[in-house]
Amino acid sequence: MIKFLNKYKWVITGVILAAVLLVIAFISGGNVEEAKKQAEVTTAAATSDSADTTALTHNKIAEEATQNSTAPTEAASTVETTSLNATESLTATSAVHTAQTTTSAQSSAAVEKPTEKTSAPAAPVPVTKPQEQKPTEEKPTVSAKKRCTISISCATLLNNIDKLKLDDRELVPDDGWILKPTTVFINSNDTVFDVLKRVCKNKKIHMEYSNNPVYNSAYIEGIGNLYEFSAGSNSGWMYRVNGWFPNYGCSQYSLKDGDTIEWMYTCNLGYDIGGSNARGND
Amino acid sequence: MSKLNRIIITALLIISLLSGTLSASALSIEQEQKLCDTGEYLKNNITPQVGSIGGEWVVIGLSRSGMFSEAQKQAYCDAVKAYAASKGTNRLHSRKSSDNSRVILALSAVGKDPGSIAGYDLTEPLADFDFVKTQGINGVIWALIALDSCNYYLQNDCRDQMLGELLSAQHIDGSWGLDENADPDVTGMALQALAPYRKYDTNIQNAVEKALLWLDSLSFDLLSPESCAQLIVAYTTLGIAPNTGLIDSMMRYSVPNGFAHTLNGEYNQMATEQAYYALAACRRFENGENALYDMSDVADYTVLDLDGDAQESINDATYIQRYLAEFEVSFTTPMKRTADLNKNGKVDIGDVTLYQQYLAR
Repeated sequence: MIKFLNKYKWVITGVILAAVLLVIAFISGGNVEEAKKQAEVTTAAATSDSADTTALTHNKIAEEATQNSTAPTEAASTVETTSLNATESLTATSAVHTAQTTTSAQSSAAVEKPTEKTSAPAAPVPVTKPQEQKPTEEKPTVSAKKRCTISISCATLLNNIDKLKLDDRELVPDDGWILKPTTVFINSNDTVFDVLKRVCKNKKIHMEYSNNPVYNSAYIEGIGNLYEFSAGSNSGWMYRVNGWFPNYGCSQYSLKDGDTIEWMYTCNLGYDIGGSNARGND
Repeated sequence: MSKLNRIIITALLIISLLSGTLSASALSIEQEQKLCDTGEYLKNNITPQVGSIGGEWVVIGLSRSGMFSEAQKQAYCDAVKAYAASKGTNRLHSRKSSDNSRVILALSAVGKDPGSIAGYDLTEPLADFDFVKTQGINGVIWALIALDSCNYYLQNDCRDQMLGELLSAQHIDGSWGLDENADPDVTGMALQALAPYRKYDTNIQNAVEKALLWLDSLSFDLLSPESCAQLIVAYTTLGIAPNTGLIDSMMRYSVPNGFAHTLNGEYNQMATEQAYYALAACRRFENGENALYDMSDVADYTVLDLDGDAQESINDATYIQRYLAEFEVSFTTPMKRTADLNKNGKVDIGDVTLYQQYLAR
């Protein structure tokens, strides 16, 4: 017996090594699966409430039918949530902006790793490859899940604090961020409105909207208790996607993977945030 | 002359007579037809609710062109009652007084008192200048138009403040806008708000004239249908026949059943509603009827309280006399408008007599 072992000791060592490597591969492959399952659960929780109709505010939103002032004035007037061309730096806040992603509370951090790594060590052993492939093939939904980044800023109020009523001034965060840029998972047919509503709900940020048939969209009246007209008659919320202010309501903008949504408070019809060309029905 | 020649000449005479009459009116045959067709469409396809489209502007347009049935008027009033009740307050919007203003206008148009709707006085919030001003110039304009439409009496009225606000918002070039930019739309609406008061205040008269000069510099082709509509209503309210080029410009947006918002665009509810009531305003002007928003032909809720005691009594007649004698009494512009009972553009002894007769009725 020992003679046998001696004669083929290198072969036997090789086989044992291979077996050990197989086991390692198998075990860590199992971990990838679990991590992915973990991620799926958390993202499902984060994105599950599309069917949820609970109002975010004290308003009975289902019955809400408030309109946007009188019709003629809408033709020219009220500040809409739509906006236009950007670049406008959030100046002082842009530094804060870039520091961001680390603080994003979403599961994105937890999720990202598994998509990159299936166990590499098995490379030199062809037998293991099919097993490696399996985890990624069986769970394509995670890597195909769409993501976007959303932020909510009222930075323009930092220089216009005197326009707010005394009681409202404490509503303005010191750095102007009501929500710093946060990456979230989104469903394939989510609109900007869907994401805002969901994120505000999850983060317990006040958000109030009404249904506006003129724009065939939700109209954002207030976020963080800062409303349209809170800082004068030309103030309100606007949004831009990828640096561009769409000229229509937020329920009409369907998101693509990687889009960046920025909700911004303006104190003068959008001029202060570079969105003066998207004032609704102009 | 042969019989045929005579017939031909008679026919030609008749035709030229007719076309003579037609060209003198504000609306062409085609435009009058458009008014009828759009009215038919709106009447048969919209059940007006409280809202900035499919709502008050349809009620106002159809009522002022005589196309709104009693049943439809009642249905709208019921909708307002339900809406107010669901709001639980007489402020139909917590930040926008224009919601109240819009509803008041529609209620006036159907002859319903906006002061008691499901137990709410919808006019009362318009006495709060801060509330009206929150919305900016838009709020001020529509509060003025709404309160004036049915001559609504409000204790603690702030119309004088609102007029002052509107005047101070006028740009140097005579225009108005939401910010420092000139906007024909807002200018048209500001004129509609100032129109009833211009005879009683030279500042207002000057402001109106300045705006009209600015409007003369506009090119109609560049205007949206809504801007055209607002200017048409402004002119007719001021008693000025709208330039046919302006009406033609609005008609460029005509599409089946209504109007589009852009050239070669599709039917747009907002454009349709505004263009419709603008055409209705033209027809009223042609027929010598009250201006679009002067609902005193169907609703007048004025209380002729001039001395501020919330009552109508001989003391008010005396108050007018003291004003005329310049005896320790000054009248604001809205008061002058209220006191001008004989509608001759000034407060005079004839109004005192009329007031006394009014008390004796």
